[in-house]
Amino acid sequence: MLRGFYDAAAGMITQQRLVDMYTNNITNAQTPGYKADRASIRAFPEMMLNAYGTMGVPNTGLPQSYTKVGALNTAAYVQEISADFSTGSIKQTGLSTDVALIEGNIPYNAQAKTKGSLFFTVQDAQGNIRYTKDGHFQLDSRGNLTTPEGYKVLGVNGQPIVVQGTMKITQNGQVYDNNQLVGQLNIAFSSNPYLLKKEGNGLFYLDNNAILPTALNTPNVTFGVSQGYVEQSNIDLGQETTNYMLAYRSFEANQRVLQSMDKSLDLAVNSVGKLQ
Amino acid sequence: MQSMLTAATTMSQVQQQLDTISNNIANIDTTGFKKKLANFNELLVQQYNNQLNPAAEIGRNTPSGIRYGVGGKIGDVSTIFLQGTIQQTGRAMDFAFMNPDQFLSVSVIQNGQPIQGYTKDGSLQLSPVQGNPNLVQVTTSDGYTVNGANGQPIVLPANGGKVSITGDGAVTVYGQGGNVIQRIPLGIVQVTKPQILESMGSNVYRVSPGNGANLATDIVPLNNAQVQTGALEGSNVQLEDEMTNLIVSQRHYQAIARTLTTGDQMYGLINNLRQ
Repeated sequence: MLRGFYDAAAGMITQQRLVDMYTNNITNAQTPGYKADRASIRAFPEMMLNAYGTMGVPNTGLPQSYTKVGALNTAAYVQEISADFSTGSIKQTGLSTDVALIEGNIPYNAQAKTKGSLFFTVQDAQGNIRYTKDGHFQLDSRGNLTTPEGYKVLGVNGQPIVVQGTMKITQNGQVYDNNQLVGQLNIAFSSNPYLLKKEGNGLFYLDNNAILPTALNTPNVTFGVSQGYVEQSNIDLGQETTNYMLAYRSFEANQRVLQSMDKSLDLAVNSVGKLQ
Repeated sequence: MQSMLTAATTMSQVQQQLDTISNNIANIDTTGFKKKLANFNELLVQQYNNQLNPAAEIGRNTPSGIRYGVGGKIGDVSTIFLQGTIQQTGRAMDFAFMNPDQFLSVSVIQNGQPIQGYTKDGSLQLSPVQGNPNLVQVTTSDGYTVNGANGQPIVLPANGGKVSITGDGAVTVYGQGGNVIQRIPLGIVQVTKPQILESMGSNVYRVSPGNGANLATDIVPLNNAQVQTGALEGSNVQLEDEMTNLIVSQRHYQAIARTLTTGDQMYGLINNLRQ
């Protein structure tokens, strides 16, 4: 069949995935700590096209000739979707359980070609370690500091932070309960945030539930923790809507290509060799 | 189509946020009202394994497969117990708490059963006691019985004298010459963990059942609370904050609705591939 058919269909599927991703970004415009997804599209491997000529004659030993047409890609696909870890704007809420993580000096990882990133450490119901950027926490009835899902926020010692009275959090993450030190927030540092996968509910994790090192022990990493502030979603509605429109028009263009392929095949099937 | 489902799910959540904001605005004049804030959270993330040959991926940074989410939801609606502004009324039976974690103990009848409630509404009244025309009891403006420090309703003789709330948190009855005839302390409690309270409506809160609260330490009776008399605590809703949130919420809703219509148009394009 015409190669273009499959190319156009693959193009439509790619743009549809992009549209799904941009829609998800737009729906999370108000989610604190949300990191926008970005996609990279890769073309399928190339193949070499040769046009076989008519100079050679079979069974005579004379060589068949062909002229090289060139390389042709056979459509594209969404290769990766990675999160953009740039900081969203910080909003003052005045809630004592809201915390914003402000990155200071973060080293650039030349091998992975990305800057590192800092996260809060939480523990889910099964005891697995998860990381999050969403600083909107709550105190449950037993005094545990938790995410809205109920996952406990961990301190540097690996234990949940428990506060019974008035909570105060200092710039380096130390937590005071009625002016008594009860723990320090564990701020984890990832030198290659590309390795982190999104799990949902604002959580990130590494393969095999691996643990990230704490930022307190990492040299050249500085940060500040602000109580009463929260980091908002880093998506820009204007940019996402524009990208979304571009993806839609690409989808439409691919659809037109598919329609014209269809017409060509129609001619090839129904009109070639037709006797009037 | 995934994008249409994503958009539809989140639109209903943004609608709930709009409902919370309009409830706040409607209660901008309610005595002792505490505003609620709706906060968003992500939903689940789905992984698609769209590479048949992971080894042939050149120049790849992230782990195999692609992952994107399916929308957002309201993570929690938190009640903000910040202090409202104190307004002077000059009424003898009005009082206002000066501290955001102090509440008045009241008794609410629900389905025939009395339930322990807590309120910030200091606008008290004397209501007739059923069955005894010579007695009156202290109630809130909605008619809920106010409990004294001993946990019992505060019952006074009708026409006994001038009744007012004094600065030490007690119901005081004055005689003709201005002398104190009777003094009954109000049931004022300090809630050290306001997160255990849930709203019951009519400006009353109660401890959410079954959430593991330790009532002995979390709700502490106060014997010598200082209150502001002749005044009421206003609602802590700030109109400028709520209007800003309303505009943000509306624009978000519009953006999501746009993605829904565009998703629909994409489906239309697919259906029109072959006329």
